[in-house]
Amino acid sequence: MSFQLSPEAIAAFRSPDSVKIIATVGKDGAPHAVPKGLITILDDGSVVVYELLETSQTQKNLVYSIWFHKTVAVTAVTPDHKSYQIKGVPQKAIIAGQLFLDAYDKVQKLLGEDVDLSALWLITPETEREQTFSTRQAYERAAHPYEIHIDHITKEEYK
Amino acid sequence: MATEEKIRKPKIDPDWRKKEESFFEILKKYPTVSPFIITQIDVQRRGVHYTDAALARLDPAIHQITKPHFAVYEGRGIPTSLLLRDGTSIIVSETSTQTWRDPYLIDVVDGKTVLVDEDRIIDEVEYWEKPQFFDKTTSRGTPMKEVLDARPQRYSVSMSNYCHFWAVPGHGCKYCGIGAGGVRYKGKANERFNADDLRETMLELVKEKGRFVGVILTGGSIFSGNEPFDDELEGYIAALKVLGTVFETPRFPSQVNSTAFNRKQLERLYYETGLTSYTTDLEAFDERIYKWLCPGKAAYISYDEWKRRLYDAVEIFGKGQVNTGIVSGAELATPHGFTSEAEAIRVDLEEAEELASHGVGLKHDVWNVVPGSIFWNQNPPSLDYYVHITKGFYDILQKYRIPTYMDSYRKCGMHPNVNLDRI
Ligand code: SF4
Repeated sequence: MSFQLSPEAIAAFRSPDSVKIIATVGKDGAPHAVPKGLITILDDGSVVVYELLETSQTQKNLVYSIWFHKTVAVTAVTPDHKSYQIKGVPQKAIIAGQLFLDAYDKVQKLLGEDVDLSALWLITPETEREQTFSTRQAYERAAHPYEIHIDHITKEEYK
Repeated sequence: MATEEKIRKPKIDPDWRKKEESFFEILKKYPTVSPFIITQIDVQRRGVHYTDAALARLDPAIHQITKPHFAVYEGRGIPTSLLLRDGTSIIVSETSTQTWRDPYLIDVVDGKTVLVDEDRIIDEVEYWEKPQFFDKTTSRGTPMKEVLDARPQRYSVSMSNYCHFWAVPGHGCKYCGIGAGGVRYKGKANERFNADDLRETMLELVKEKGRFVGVILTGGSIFSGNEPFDDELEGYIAALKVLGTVFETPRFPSQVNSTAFNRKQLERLYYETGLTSYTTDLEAFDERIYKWLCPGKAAYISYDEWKRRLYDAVEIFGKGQVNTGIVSGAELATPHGFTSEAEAIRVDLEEAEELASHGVGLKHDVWNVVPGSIFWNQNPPSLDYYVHITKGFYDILQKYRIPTYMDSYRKCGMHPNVNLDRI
């Protein structure tokens, strides 16, 4: 895999304590962002999304994305409020075979036998960005120092 | 990359590529149709040939394998079918190498199994993996893979291997290889399914968690009984009752694809079993062509009566739980088929709209010219025709809001217009 994810992003996505979100678009162009319990990173750097519902909007949008080469975004937010966003294009939907059956077994052990698995989506990362607020603020202030309300730079005695 | 020298191509038209738009031109022409579905259609239309390197990747311990009829593989098994990266199945067999066009190649490049045309890689493919019950036998000694067949997410029952239409000269459907080959089962112990074998195989199948999402029951037509096709109906009811014993819910994901039953028969099928969906294929969306392609069906059930029975089925099973299909392309066969693709498309879509307006779902098979069928020497139409029909059926189903889950890429995989309905 040509694009290398940072160790921090990988750790955030692999941590069971992080909140993970996937954002996709479908054929109507409307964005759809939802929390997903099971998103992780494989050793080869691929993002794996476990889609549990065959008829969900995310599943439809992931199919749309693999068909028409559309980008999806996944975000992991750690308990200490650091957040990492990865964007990429779905590469494969694993819907059968031993890999799928192993994942099916894992899902049922983690979430209970009542839970189904529709597909295991492999997403090839193309970009990564830390989205932690303090990091983004520092970056944007340095890049665009004049795009703020002036009270942020007004002398204390004149406020 | 391998050469195509070993492919059996007795009557390939050397100029066929000059006479129709290419795969890549069609991709551009239909930007809203999934490239994966266009790939599925074209591979089903033209067939595949496996190189030695591709066959070396076939593992009998893992994959579903078919014994080919043609000497070109020197007795070696070939993959039963293929899977694309998005989960779309390509239902393709070596029989398609009989077409007048070059088949695609399945080869190995840079460690990947790939679909190739004219030295250009189209995409990666996978071979289907077999279920565990395929290696088991029933207590009667029947291999379980002969009791239930499998695709990546569905299992199937052949209720009857012998179609009675072939008992009357000239009554078999002209594109059909099943019926022609099925004569050898007539009067044999395996002419119909065995209930004990089916029960035992089901008990093994349901141990494979996460493997299957539904069943289809189909088979040849059986016109005997108190009323025509009553014996066929009894066969499906008996098989469904056996399947139903393993489920805790009264209904279970299932489809019967049979001759068109009358209202009384349909009500029995629905109320006496756990069946959820019903298909009966008109095979052609034009009365004249129907009579020519399917003379046996037409002798028992008129075209208009077949349609009426479909409308009855929608009332009983519900909208989205009933569909009908055509063997698309066969309506262009010679000498009595339509003489232009444009006319075939117009007629197919007009009738499709009429059926959908009554709540009947639509599906089409890419006509696979089967050796042993009456039409063995014919040639399917262009890729443009197929993509046009695929998009046309899909648009009509969207317009009439008819769900397609009963025959989805998971529960069948064969029908491009239904496979398109995943977004
Ligand atoms: S009804 Fe027609 S298509 Fe079906 S098995 Fe008989 S001959 Fe073949």
